Amino acid sequence: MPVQVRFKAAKAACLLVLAAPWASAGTYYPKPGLFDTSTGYLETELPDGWFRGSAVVARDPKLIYSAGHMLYDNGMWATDYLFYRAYNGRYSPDPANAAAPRGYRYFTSYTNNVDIYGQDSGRAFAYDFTVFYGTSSFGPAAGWWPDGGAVMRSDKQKLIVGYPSRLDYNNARAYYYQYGTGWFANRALQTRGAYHYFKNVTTGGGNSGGPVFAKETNGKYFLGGILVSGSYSTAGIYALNSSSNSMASAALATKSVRADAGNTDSVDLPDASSTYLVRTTTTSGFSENITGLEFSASVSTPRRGDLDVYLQSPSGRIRWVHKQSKEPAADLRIDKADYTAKFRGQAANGVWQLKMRDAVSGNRATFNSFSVSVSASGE
Amino acid sequence: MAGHRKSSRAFLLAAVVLLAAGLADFLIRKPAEAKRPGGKNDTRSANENIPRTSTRPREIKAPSEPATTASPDAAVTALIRDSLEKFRANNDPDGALEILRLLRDGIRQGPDDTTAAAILDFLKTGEDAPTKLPFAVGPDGMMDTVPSLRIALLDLLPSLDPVSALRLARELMDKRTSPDEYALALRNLAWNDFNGDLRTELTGRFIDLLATPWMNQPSAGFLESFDIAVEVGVGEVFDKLVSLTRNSNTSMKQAAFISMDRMILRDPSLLAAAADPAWMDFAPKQRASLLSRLDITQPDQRALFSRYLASTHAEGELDYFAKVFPNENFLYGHRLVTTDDTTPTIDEVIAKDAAVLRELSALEASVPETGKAAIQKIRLRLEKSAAGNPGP
Repeated sequence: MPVQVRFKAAKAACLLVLAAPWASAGTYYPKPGLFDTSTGYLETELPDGWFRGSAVVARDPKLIYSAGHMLYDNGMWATDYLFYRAYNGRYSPDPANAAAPRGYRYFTSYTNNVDIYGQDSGRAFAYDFTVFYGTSSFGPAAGWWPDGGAVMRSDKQKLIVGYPSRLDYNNARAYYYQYGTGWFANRALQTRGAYHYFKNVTTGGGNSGGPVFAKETNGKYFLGGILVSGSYSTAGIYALNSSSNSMASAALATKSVRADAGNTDSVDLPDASSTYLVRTTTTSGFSENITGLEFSASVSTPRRGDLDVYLQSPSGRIRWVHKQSKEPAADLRIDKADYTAKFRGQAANGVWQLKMRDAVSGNRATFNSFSVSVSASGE
Repeated sequence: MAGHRKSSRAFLLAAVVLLAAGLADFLIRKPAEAKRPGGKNDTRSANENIPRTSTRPREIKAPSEPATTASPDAAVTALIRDSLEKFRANNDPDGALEILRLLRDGIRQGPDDTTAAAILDFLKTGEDAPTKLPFAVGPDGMMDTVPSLRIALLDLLPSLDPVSALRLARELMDKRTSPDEYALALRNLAWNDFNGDLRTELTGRFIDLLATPWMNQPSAGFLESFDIAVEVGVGEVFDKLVSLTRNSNTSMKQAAFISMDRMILRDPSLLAAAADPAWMDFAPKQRASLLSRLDITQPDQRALFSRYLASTHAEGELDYFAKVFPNENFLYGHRLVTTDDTTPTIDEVIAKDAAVLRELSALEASVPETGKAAIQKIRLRLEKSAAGNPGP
């Protein structure tokens, strides 16, 4: 896989200047034109200067999707971000006609700093996503594919749109014209998590944050991902997924979908055991991450202090329900306890396991039931 | 007689020690429970219907951890050793990912107790192999990729046997084997916390980490462990992070800033130190970033806001502050322990901005000229935002 370079470009001059050879036949070059009216030109101010990129109004008229590295900070937030919807011209657009988002949400970690992984690492690209939000409409929004990765990997027709400052294949200036690759059916390869890339597709510096649309058979197209990197013959994509969907939902007063699942397969716990007995239940059908989780359980025992009980999420995260203690009281009964704080933002689909043991000899405990009630945003 | 006096003294000493231990336990536990940031949403005690009386009187037994009696699973042991050899021989990242995937799949398929025993047995040997993959936290606090085989095993242990994972975490932190292992040990300690019972220890262990020589060249695991600061959310740790923003290491400063910002969102009272005009004056724009979280609809935070605008600023600091305040940008991510915070919806931000605008109007007359200029910039930006975007 060729080295991937971030496509954030300085406003005055392109950061990406490659003496690139001509790409192979079948490469999809960008061409100027107004390909999509939800796509726009984006400027942001960072401590080290102004940058230009691309963005798209998506999912809701008050949301704009783009690449997270347009907002890279070092203890400081990007400011003065301006969005020019469907701009298409030779000259720098007039700020008086720009829309100013009120704020943004973006992925970051304690270590996605260039010092650790390098600015252009796959790790950084796998989280390279942001959602701007506005207090009013930015205009009609593009529809979206909840599972963008599956769409990127499919043979559906795709189109990348954006505002490259220079074009890779001949280094020509692109000015402020909107460019599109034309529809192509290449299947993306998944590198890490949300990060995918296409071979034989070229875009250009400044295209970062531009949408990758994928078309239905009826001709309608929807947003499946955001362009975050590229070389002269590849295009790196952040594909939409449950985490990016949840981030967007957090800005909206989205309705919650709830699923209840439980296990009532009663069983006696072995006495004085070092082994945990497991009961499972499964939640499914969510396209976003957890926004709420209620937990209930019932274990009959003359002395609940003998019990070790914990809940394990589908991914393996644990949350203690009860720890062995001196507590003399009987029975462990938990009714709709709010466990959201430990599981918010985590995967909503999968197998939940309640693991329990009666660790002390002398009393017999019986598992009666447990249930989880999982909520996540959904439409 | 002398022997009797000696044994009496020994008895008295033991009684005093036991009493002191009980008192210390009480003192340590009480504040931790009261302080727990997750308490608002994690309302276990309020919602549980736990009977208060036993069905029959019985003698209270002292709790004890049952000894792990399970024998190591032979297949898992073989899998770990096979992975060890393969990691040692491998130089290709894709190959390493495949070895890791097979290891994880095999471990998840085994019985919990014997699989945990096999992992613990291997970890005791001290053997290891680098994977040549980064220390990368994935969704839900589970590791995405790991730099070594031992880290991969430490990652999976809590779900198989949390009590053993806790015991091992303490051993590793005492031995200070490596910063990345320390980070996983901190995570496993935090995951074992039950309603605040390990919070004091967690705080202490994190502060210990900040005193190690690993500070000089922080690894990815070292930096990811900054999430513990957010989890414990106490002023002592916040102050440590403030001092780290002086550090010359960019990654360290970035991690400290992210932690402080998230800590302030969870507990704005941590900003009380900003009443001192010299607070963070060595990093003025970072100071402005943190103070941009002030909620001036709250009287105590409004007072801090006024004091900040009236104090001395570095060049460009107030201009930057005026561009960010009131800060409604939010960070999301995959972290070792904490989950993403609840953030306001657009409608909530609109309502909050309206309230801030009202407060700014009232405050404008009471601040000096430089502060007035900042307030006017903030007002202009918020009023423009409230007026809406130009049509498409």
